[in-house]
Amino acid sequence: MSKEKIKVGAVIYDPRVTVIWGIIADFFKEEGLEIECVFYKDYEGQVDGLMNREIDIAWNSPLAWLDTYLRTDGQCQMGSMRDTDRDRQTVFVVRKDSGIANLEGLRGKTIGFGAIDSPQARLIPIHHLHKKGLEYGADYTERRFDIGVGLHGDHVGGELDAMKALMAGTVDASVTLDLNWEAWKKDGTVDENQLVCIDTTAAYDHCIFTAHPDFQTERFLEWQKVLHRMDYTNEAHRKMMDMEGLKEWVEGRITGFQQLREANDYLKFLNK
Amino acid sequence: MNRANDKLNAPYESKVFDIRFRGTSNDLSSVKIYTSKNRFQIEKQISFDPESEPISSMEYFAGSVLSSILLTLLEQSKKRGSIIEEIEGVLNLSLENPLSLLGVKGYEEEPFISKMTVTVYLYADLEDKAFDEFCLGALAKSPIYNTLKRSMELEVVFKKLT
Repeated sequence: MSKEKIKVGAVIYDPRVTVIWGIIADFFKEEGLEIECVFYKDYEGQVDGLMNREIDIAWNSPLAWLDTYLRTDGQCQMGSMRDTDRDRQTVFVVRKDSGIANLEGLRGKTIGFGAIDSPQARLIPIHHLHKKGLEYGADYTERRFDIGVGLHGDHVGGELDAMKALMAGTVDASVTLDLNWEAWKKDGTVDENQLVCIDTTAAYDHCIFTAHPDFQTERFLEWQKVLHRMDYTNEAHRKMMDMEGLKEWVEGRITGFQQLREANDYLKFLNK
Repeated sequence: MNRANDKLNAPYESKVFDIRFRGTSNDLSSVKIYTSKNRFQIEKQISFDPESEPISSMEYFAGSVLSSILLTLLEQSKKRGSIIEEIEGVLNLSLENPLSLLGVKGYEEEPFISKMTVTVYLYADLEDKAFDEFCLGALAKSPIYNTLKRSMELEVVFKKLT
C-alpha cells in the first residue's frame, strides 16, 4: 500500500480551528499513518480541490457532500462522521406573545433564516415548510442573515442574528439547529420565557468525510479505522473532540441527507 | 564662544544608539535570539492555540509594546517622586488576514497587525489636567510607541483610578 501522506481537506474560517487539525495530524502520525492537512476558504473550493485530487479526503458539510455526490455521479466514497452529526433537527421558533401556534400560522409572515447556503438554517427548513404546504417565494417572506456565505452554515452568526431579529420583533419566526437552540436556552442567549419552538424538521445528518472515487478504498478504510481509535478519555484527544463537538467518530451514512437532496431539488440550489 | 551646531558637530553616537541582535537556527525549526548578555528561543511567529506554552514572536512583540508603555510611565513617575501608586495595562491587538498565514487556500492577502489599543489604568495623586500632561509626557519618551504610531493605528487610553 502507498506510503504517501493522505491529504485531508478542511474548511477553515477561524485560525483556532487549525489547532483541531494539528491534534488530528499528530494522532495519525503516532499511529503510523501520516496525513497532510489542506485548508480551504470555502466548501466550493474544497470540493474543487477534491475533484482535482489536491486532496484525497474532504471533511464536508452536508451540502458539500451533496455537491461532491452530484459532481461524481454518486461515485464519491462515504466516510465517518461525528456522533453529533447524526439525527439533527431544525427548530422553528416564535415569540410566545405572537399568537402563532404552528407552521400554518406563519402564512404571510416573515421568517428569519441563516446564510443562503446553510442546510440547517435555510435549505432544509424551507423544504420542511414546502412539505407542510407553505411554498417558498409565495406563502411567506424570507429574511436571510447571510453571515459566512460559502461556509454552508458552519458559522453560527447567521442563525444567531435571525434569533436576535426574532427577539427584536423584526421577524415573526426564525430557524436554527437544535443544538444551538438548546445551548442558547442554557447560556441565556435566548429567553425561554419569551420564545417557543412550534415545530421541528425530521431528523437529518450533518458533516461527513468524503473521499474521491479514485482514492483507494482499502486506504480509506484503514484511515477511518485509525480515526475511530481516537478516544475521549485521552486528554489530548478530548481537547480536540470538545472543540469539534463530538464524543466519538461513528460510521457515516447517506440516508440522513435525503431531506437535503429533496431541498436541493425543490430550490434548484446546486444546478448540476 | 558659539555653542556647537548640532547638525555639523554632534557625534553620531549622540544622535543614534545602535543595537545589534543575532538570530540562529540550528534545528531549522526554532530560532535562538542573542542579546548582549542573554539568549532566548522562539518556536513560532504566532500560535492560535490558547494553551500553547512557548512564547511566540507575536507575544514578545505585544509584550514589548505594553511593557515599554508601562515602563515609560513608571520611569517618569520615579523622576517626579513616585507619583504612580498603582498601574495596570491591557493591550488588544487585531491581526488581519490570519488565514493566509496558515496557508488556507483562497486567502492571499498579507497578514498584518492593523490595530493595537493599550488601556492603562493608573492610580496617581494628580488633578485631571496634570494627570493627562504627565501621561502624555511619559508616552512621548517611549521609543517603541513613537515608532509604531508612525506606521499603524496605535491608540493609548489612560484611565485614572480613584
